[in-house]
Amino acid sequence: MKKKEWIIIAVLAAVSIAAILYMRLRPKSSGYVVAVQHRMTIVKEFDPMVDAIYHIDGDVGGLDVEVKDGRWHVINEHCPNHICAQMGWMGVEDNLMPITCLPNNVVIFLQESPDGN
Amino acid sequence: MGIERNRRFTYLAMLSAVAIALNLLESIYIGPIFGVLRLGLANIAALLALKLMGRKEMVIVNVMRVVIGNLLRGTIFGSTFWISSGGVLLSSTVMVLLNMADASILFTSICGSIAHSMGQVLIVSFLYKQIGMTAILPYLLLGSIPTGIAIGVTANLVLKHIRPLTEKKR
Repeated sequence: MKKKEWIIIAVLAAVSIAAILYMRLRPKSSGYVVAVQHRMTIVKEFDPMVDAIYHIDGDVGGLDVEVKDGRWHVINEHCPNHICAQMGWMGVEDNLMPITCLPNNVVIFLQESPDGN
Repeated sequence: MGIERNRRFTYLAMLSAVAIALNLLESIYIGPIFGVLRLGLANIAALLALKLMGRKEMVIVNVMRVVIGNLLRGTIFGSTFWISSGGVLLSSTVMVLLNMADASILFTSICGSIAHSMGQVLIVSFLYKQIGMTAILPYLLLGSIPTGIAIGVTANLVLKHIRPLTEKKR
């Protein structure tokens, strides 16, 4: 690989690391809700600080979202590849990464609470 | 001339078959790393097609991989198909442009891998109308660099053991 190409790769890596650090260290809003979207509709919103298990209907049988200690993950997923479950636990402090279950057409993502609580 | 044409056709068919097999193998037996990042083994066949035969042949291998791979998995024209198509469209474009600029195979592989991830995320963001999906991009971009290097190194090793298509004129 040429020197110029190494420089471009190094710059791309630096930009990625900076973006990840920004997302992790940016000032947090006072309140968050976790939203679950099926196709184009938000079908559920829940408080990540309240422990619970929610069932979500999807295109191939749905899945459950377990919430515990401010974190959430997918369990009992009825999909062929189980990527959504393999994504593991997500939390406010970790990142803004959404959990996606493409066979079920379900996306679980964090969003700021409209009332800030 | 006829023999040369037949050899090219055979190479194209074989590389397409390798791409489809690697694609299926990866989706069935090798799950995503950290839940989101895929190795992109089928890109080895695409890189070989690009370096051995040319741009048009690489696009054919990539299209065959997406269409036949999704047909075999039963996901044709579903969300998975369109997401794969978005990744392949962007990665093919980037790899063709880099090949025209005479970039190294390793750099082409890394940039192809990055473009593939970006294409997929853009399609997911569009399909679900969730711009927040792009939050995953820095992770994918960073992860695509080592996977791109691994795929590029593998393709380079394979290239050394494949007889070039066009024989030198005596």
